[in-house]
Amino acid sequence: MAEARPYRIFLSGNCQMQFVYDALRRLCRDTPEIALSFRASYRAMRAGDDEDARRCDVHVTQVANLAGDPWRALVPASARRIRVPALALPGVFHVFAPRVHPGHEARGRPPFYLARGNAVLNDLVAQRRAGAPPDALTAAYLDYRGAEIENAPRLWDMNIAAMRRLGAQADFDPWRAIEPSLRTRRHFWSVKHPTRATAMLLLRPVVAMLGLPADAAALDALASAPEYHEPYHAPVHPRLGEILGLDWAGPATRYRCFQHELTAGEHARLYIDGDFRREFALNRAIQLARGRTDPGDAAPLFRASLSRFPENGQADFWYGVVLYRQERFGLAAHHFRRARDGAAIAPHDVPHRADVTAAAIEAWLKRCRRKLRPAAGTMKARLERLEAEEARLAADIRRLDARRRLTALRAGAA
Amino acid sequence: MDAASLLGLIAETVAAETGARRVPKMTRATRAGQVPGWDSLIHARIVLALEDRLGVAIDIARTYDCADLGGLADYLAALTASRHG
Repeated sequence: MAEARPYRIFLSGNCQMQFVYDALRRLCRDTPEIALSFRASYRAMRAGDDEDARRCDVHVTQVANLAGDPWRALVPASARRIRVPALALPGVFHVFAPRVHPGHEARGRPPFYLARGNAVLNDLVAQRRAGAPPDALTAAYLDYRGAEIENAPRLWDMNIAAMRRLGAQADFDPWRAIEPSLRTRRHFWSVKHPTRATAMLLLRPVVAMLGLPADAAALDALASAPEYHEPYHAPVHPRLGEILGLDWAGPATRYRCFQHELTAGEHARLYIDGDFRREFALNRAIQLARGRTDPGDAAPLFRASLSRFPENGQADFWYGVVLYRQERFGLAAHHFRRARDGAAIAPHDVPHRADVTAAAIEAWLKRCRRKLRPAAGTMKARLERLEAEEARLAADIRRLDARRRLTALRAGAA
Repeated sequence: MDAASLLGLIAETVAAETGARRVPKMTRATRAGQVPGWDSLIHARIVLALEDRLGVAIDIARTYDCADLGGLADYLAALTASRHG
């Protein structure tokens, strides 16, 4: 009799497909008959990566107008294919979505490489470095009406044409649901990062096409969870919002920049000034912790940042790792417990990041407990010490009691 | 403008828009995926720049159907010929 094997679903693509994968994992966690795997198109292929592709039963693949899927050639011809469109909104985020330069300490470092920078802002940065005042430069940015603004309507039309084409090539077309409200609702946080509502337009059809045993309540729970694509929401230049008629992108609109909410003007000022150190302090600390550098470098950054972000389980987890490396096991366990509590509340395993699992937190807690538990020999000695102490205290109590009774007798005799 | 001249114009535009310091030598067989930085975002800017330089409205969906630079040059040659014809 042939050995039963799971039904293998292989997903490949960008961050949008990663959301679909994470959601499917959640929906299928009690279904051992289904094996899920994912390979990101934005990471270089590593040895052994191809195994899941070669033996899958279904390939959930992403179709894009320009790029092909490198995994497609590896998937068996017999495997079923589900084509998911790669959504994007370059019509809005083609400029003025400043990247934080990976080579400049003050502007952050990988992995915080954001959207493409633009010449206008970079020119203002150069003027700032030459000594121009940041207020005037920020005002110049906000007043800008150059080619990037003028050309925006044409790029918007091109974006729509490109997305319509993609929808026609995929197995379902979420763009039809997006396009009518593109001006009235924010569907993307940045050029390729959809809002959760938009990402659900990708997930629901995939679940239906796979025929998975996911109930409506589980899908609704995923739909109402906090945003997945954190922590950077690209700001939209107010003039760009105005010319495109975007209700969701005005001068007072606040955009998330890691742990802060900034207007486009405030964000531009920071960029022009070239100093994102405060915004990046926590990220830098986490990056150092992940990079296994000297824990002494990361610990002060965590201490400075944690009070500002009391509910950031990701921060607690990585601070716990740093403390563990410093052999401060009790405090490390405290932060792992806080991370675990956060994981129980947030839909991600750890708030703000999906890469630290609840199982990983438990494993670290276990390591801390092992370190905190005295060795067997030490236990015996400690017990003997405690028993001796107990005997000494009992003797003290007896002596005090006798003294009290003697005092009472003397008082009676007098 | 013939397809050969258009190929040169496309290569120039791609180099300018991708901002790559080292753009590989582009031929009719060059594909977008072979040019660093040529993604969907930059593609729209390339098409926009070509519209400006050629004075024609380009159907971006049609450009995605072109397998390579040669295909794109042929499409643009036909487009400009029909406009000037």
